[in-house]
Amino acid sequence: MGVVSLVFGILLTFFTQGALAKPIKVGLVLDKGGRDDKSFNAAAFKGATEAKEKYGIDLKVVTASDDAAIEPSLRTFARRGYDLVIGIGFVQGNALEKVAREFPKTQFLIVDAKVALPNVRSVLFNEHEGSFLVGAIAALTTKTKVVGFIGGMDIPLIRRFEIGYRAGVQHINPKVQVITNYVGSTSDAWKNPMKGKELALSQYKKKADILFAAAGASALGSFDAAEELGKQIIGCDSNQNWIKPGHVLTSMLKRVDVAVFNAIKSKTEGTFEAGEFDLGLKEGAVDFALDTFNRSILTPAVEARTNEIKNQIIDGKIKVPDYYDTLRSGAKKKNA
Amino acid sequence: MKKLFSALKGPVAGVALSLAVCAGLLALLGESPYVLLEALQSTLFTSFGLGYTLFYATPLIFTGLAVAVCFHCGLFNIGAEGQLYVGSVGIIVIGSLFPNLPGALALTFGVAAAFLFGGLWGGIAGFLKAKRGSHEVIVTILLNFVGIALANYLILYPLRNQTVQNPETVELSAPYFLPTLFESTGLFESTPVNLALLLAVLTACFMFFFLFRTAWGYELRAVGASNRASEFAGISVGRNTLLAMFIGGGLAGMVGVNEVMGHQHKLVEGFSPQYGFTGIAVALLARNHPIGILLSAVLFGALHNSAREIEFLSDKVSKELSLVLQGLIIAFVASHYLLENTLKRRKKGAA
Amino acid sequence: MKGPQIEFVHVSKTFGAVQANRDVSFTIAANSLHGVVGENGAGKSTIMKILYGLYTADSGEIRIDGKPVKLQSPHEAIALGVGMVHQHFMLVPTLSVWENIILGQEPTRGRLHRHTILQKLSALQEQYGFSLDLEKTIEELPVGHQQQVEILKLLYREANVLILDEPTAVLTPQEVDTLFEKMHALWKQGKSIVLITHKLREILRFTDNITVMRQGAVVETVAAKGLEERTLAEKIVGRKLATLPTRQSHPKREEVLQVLNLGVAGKYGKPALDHVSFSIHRGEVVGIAGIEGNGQHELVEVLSGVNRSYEGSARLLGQEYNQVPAYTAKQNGLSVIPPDRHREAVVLEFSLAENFVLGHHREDRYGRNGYLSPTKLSRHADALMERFDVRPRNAHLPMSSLSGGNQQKCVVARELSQSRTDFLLAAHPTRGVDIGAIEFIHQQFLLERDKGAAILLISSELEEILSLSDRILVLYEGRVVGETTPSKTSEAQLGLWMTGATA
Repeated sequence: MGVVSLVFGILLTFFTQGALAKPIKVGLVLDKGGRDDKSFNAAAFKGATEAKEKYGIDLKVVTASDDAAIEPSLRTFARRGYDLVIGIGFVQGNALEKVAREFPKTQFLIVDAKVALPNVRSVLFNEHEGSFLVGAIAALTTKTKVVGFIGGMDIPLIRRFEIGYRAGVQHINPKVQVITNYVGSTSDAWKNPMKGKELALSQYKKKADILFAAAGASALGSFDAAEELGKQIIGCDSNQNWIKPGHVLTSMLKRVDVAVFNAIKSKTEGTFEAGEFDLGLKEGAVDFALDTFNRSILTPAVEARTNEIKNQIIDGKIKVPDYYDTLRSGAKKKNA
Repeated sequence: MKKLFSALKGPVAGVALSLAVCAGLLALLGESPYVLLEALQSTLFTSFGLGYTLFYATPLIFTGLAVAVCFHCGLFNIGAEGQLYVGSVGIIVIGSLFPNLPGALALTFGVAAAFLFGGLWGGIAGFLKAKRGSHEVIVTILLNFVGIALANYLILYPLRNQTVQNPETVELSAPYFLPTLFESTGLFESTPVNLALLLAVLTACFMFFFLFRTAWGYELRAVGASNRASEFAGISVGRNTLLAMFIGGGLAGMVGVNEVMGHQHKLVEGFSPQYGFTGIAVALLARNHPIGILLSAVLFGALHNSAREIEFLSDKVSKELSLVLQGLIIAFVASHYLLENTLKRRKKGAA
Repeated sequence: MKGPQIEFVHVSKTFGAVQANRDVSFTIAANSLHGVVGENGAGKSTIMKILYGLYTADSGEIRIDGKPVKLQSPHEAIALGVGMVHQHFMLVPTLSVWENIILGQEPTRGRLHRHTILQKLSALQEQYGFSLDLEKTIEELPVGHQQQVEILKLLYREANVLILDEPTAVLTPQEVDTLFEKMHALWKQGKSIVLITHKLREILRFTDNITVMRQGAVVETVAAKGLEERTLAEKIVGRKLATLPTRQSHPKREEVLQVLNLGVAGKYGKPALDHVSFSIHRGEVVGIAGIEGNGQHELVEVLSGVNRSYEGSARLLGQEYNQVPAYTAKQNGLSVIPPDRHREAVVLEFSLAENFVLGHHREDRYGRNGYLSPTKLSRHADALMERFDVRPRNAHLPMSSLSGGNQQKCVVARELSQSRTDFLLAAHPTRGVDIGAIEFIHQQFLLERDKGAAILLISSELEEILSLSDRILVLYEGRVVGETTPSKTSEAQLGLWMTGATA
């Protein structure tokens, strides 16, 4: 499996005891989107399933259909003696913190949020780095010199995508225009494909020929728009190249699957580490996707140039702007 | 006793029948029907499960009452969903205006704010109905959109907590916190069920008293049962319409007491899993009787809670089974009432 | 075709716990004028609906010309020549007369031969002496003509037995005469007419044989000839009836109600009440005669405090109606028996106990500071039910479970048991009420009058108005078109005024 080759971290121990002892129990709580969102939650589900196949763990996946259901779901896992409980998405941060505090012997993984407890592993991704790469790809490929960005919910996390993407575009050609739209500012913005399609259509109408859609299930509408108008689009989180082959230029990968897989793996191997992990290009945690579905539209020249930029970022030669930094400095200014 | 039995007969039969049908469905899907019982058992008879059941039941008591009190006045309040958001916002607004009140006063202010804000929101529909004859169903449905949008605006902009990703308001100050029952009694192991439950039970008892033992409740019910007879009795239809919608809205607003003061201590965008609409079912099952609403709210709380249990217990069926169960109960109970009414009418036609 | 002989043989019918018909046996002779009388709930409508195929009997049988028949639906009844005109007409208001007549018999395929139908109908009209305009829509016709459409409909279906259920309830005296003339003509041509009514005078005048029913069973079938109205009434209720007390004196005393140039806007810019003026004194009963829809409704609304936007003036004991909250007026001597019992006088879903305080529910005697004491309510109810003989004696029953007569007794009990009644507004107080209850209600009114109450009686029963009133006003198109006293007038005279003929 390709995934294994992309594994980050330095986890070497052979699984010695795991196979003999009772299988470890892993509970995964997905958020509203559910395992079929083809994006963020789907990635987590994929990572967990792969780990189950590989390590024979006892895996249970539940979906918190509303925010009120998150805490009891996490708590039920902890109460039932699950060894590792995984929460996906920043929305689960608060609830997971409460539950983790009450169950110090259980270990937790939270993706996309920071929980500073000794039994919690917090994994955050440098989305801006990956976005910078796909921004560069868009700028290298566009013919109209106009590209678009469609964000889901207007929150700092998605702004981080936007700013990275914008910087990537301008790194290649400062003259390329970037149109930006957000689906909304409430959590409904993640599941509104109608609006996702509308925004895409209007951006294409304004001459954009490539869009980057970081909008959860709403992005599926944008994919439809790309297919309808014969334009191109860039996927997000999971590898979405297969959704509309020939129209998906690439996908900005956020390897939630790897984060989940590795956490389970380290748990089975007894090397689980709590703490905060910021993972980026260097660790292979964010990347751009290249496979048979987009091989024909992503030219080798563009690929070479992108890989070059990628290395420059890893080496620190290119500094990608991080929206979180601007936020922090903004807050400081305010305080001063 | 006999009266109680005949009142409970319909709902109990409906619930039993629904469980039987769901058990049949489970068998068809190749799952042990026992899963259903196990899920209900753990949601009702374990202290953890019961804690969450009661936590969900609390807002349903409020919204059930919100629907019922309007029903008694002949009004169909479909606006509880909007009213509960506006009431919840009210708590945050008052909480941020007066952060440093002493404990008892803060709690009073918080509860009063929830009631008043929700009440004003419901009152709009009552006012329009009384003055302009606008149909309350249409108005309350539309005010749901407006109320939720208004609440979202306040959550996203003026009251927003800028330090977190999730759209939520700043936190209340500590005097506004209602203790959870776990904190105050050690029961219900760390579930969020809180003192708002007690408030809800008291409110239901008070509403029973208000509706059936006071002249105001009498007038309200008279208007609901017969507009014309009320006018001839010198009872103002308009004033009672306004009053019912105000009280209904206020009761829905009290959901915020449970959610904001008792649980989150802040208002989170989209927190309600449609408590306002489930309240309609809760009231229907209880035939709008305040005490019955206590029971039916617990039942619906348990069903909502059992969704998670079902997901934990079974790989073959999804938690939507609990929605099927809720739907079946509503359908069976409603058809039972329908049948009963038809029979009654037949009998009357005979005389 | 002659109206056949119809026999009911031991027919019984129960609905749940109610025995509607018990072992009913009687015969309607061929080509006869037959009356069926009884109080509400005596089972007269049920037995006729069994004959018409609307209900099926539990036991017993019906024989038409000696042959036992099983009637499962009105269609089968019609096929055997039995037709029924219901109290509430079954007509489509927006369709024309001829369309209504053929409705249900129209050809389901092919063309509607309007011309042929019209020809056939005209022939029918000529044969039976009708003169309806077949092209008019039902809503354009007066009630009396609508009824004729119903009858013509049955004739078109070749009915030989016509059952009329309370046909005169909605008619003016003149229309009643016309109806009976027409029915008589039909009888002469061989049809049988069965008349169900509670108006004894009519049944005595029109029919030959009368079947009296009580509590689901037949009391007896008697010849109408030579029968006294009073005797018949006593057969119906099954006991002797008291005579109304005659009044002792007519002192002209204090003016209680004063109405001056009262005006209320109506539909289409036409006033519903137009400069109505009258007054009522203590100890006086004023009757308002008129065909329904001539302003009675609006007058009731003003004088009960429901309508507060009127022109002119209406004063109760010197107080202008719209200056006093309606609830307060009710505490200050205003008693109202509204015209529509089910919608206006009682709350059907409420218990009897709750209904007994309607309009007085804030009084301290039922509980202080807004509290309504259930024990006080039921004690109050028990006392009233005893005094006014309301059955069954169970204050916790919903009002809807009572018979019409008992419901009306509850209303009268409530309105006449207040601390004082200065003015009693009674609109159709005995409508749909059986004879025993009518007698009782009338007695109560006269008692109040003698205690000094002013009474305004609005009724479509001229008999009632003539027997109770001291003075009679006739209302026509919102105006008072005549004033008289019972001794100086007759039903015929009043009937003329009611249709707008000037005195």
